[in-house]
Amino acid sequence: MISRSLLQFCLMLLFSSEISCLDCNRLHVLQTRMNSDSLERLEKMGGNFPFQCLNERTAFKPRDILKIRLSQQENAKVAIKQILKELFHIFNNNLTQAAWDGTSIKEFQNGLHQQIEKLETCLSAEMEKEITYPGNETILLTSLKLKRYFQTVDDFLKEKQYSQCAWEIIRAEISRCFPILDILTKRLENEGTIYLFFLEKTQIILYE
Amino acid sequence: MMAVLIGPLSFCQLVYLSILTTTLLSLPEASVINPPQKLTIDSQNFQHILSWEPGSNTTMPTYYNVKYIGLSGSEKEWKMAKECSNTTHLFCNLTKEYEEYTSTYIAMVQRVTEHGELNSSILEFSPYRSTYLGPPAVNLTACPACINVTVKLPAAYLKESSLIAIYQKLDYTITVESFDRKEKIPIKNETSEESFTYVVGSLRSNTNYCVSVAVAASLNLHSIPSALKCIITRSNIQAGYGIIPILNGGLVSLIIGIFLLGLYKGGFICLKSKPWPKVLETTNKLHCSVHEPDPENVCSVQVMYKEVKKKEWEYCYDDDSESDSENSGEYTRHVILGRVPSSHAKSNTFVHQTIDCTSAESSSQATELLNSDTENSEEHQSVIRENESTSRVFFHPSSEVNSSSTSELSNSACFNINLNTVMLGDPDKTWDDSATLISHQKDAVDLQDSSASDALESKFFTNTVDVKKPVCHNISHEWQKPSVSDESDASDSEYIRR
Repeated sequence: MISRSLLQFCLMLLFSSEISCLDCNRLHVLQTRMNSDSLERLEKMGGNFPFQCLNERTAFKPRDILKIRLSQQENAKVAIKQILKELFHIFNNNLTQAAWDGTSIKEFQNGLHQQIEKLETCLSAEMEKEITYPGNETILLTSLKLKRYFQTVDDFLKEKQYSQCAWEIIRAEISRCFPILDILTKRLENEGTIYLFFLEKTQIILYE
Repeated sequence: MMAVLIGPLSFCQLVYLSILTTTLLSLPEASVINPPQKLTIDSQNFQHILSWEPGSNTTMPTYYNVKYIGLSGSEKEWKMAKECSNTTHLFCNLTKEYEEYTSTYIAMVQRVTEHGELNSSILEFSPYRSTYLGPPAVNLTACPACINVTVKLPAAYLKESSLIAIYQKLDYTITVESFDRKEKIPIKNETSEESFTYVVGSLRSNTNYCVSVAVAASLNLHSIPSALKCIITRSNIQAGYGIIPILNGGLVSLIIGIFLLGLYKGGFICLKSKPWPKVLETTNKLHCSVHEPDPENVCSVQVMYKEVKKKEWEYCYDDDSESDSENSGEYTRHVILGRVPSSHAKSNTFVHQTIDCTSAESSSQATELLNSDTENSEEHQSVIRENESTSRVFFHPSSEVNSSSTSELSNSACFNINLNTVMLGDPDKTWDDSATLISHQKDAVDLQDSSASDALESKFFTNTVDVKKPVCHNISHEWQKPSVSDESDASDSEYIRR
């Protein structure tokens, strides 16, 4: 009896310590800071926009993805995760012609990767819960929009054969994603859903 | 020969001429108008003002065109700033042109000349990242040891938009410093409202503090702090704040009062002074009597038996009394009768009876006994005199004393006590005194006047015995009463026995 409850207590401590290290309650603070760092690294990668590439500019559709306003916290998490993954995917392409500093590129890529990791750790627990969130249509729509948008970017790069001008144009365009990321991250502040989920689980274990 | 000479000469001229023309031709180019330089944008709350410096060798007037292009767009051509076309000013307001605030814009200034336009270098600018936020409008109100800071965010120069709408959340920093710039307290917080209030606490009262507020965003750290506003904090001493310590003091005193009341009820505290019990009063008297130095108080009476042979003396005692005395073998008391000489010459037994000088009871008892002998009053004159100071019993038997009377006397309690003949004093030393007394009395025997003799005897008596009432008048009287009564009782029993 005592040994069983002791085991459960130890397990709870282990889980809580693991969660508390990441502190999903304070995810928004971490994500905000990482957003800011990533954008700075992106800007530091290259210099001024080259004059000659002005003619090669194109509009990336849909344009209204920049007006994403997701109210639900869970939807925001999903959207953030998708954007970060897409960005990471873009910058995994051929960057040889970009004429950027290799260290800066690597730093940017690492930063993105960390951001994705932290977000996934906090999101995975929610997926296990299998709660159907209201407003799922909104998140699907947003997801589709985002997918289209980043497809356009990818197509543009392929078309321009990853030229320097193309990369510069893409760099300028991607820098506009970070304000959207910032707004979505601020949605994460309210509610400690993951923490509550774990708390419920531990309570069930203890009272059995 | 001449042609050869003319040849080189013309060649030199040709060279000289060509040099001249080229220099002449290049003269206009020497006064080249430089394009505008040093483009800068002064942006505050999404109000962007581009300013530049004119190039050198400018001739007045100079006209400028401002052109810009947004990187997020797809236009091929530069856009012209409508308000700044052919302007002579050295600045241009691009607030309305830079609508897409998340995008990056490139600006360029053209100088309009008759020969063409001179383009300046380009200037890249991203409003979202580089505009300066603030200064906010700050209002201060003083409170005791704190300052109430009300901050109102500035309006953004954007169509139907505000800073909060653009950034969602803003971080603000309140810097509180003392007037002498010695203390600096930065307070960081975030807000999602256009107007908010913050109470800066833990300040010293009656001190001058200056407050400045700066606003910034997570992706835009450029900010302009507000101007320092100073205020004096109010004092802590207020009527409202005085109520609480007064209430606390009242509560504490009430608790103490209840505690003391409980003690009083429990009998631990006595307020009334209880009177001294009567039983214990004697201890005080004792105390009083002990401390009263009064040697005269000691008037112990001791009855002694002494045989004094005196012929002149005649005792009322007959043989019976003697026999009694002899037979008893114990301490007997023989009462000395008066000075009246009797026919009988008895053995000279002189009895000292020492009685207490203050024994009123004994005298009273003696009087009682005397009164019982009323039969003998004819023969004997019993005069009982009680002095104020002393109580003596005087027995003055008549001159004519018959044997019968004496016998009667002997049978009955012979209480003819003449205290004047009574000897008082130390048993060891009294013999001489008694002799003295007797001798004195002997002289005074012939005196018939009882009063005179009495007076003399009383005088002697008083001389020998200094009877004095003790100072503790009442106390000693009462105290010695029972003991004397005991003695008198004993003596009475003796008399009766005889």
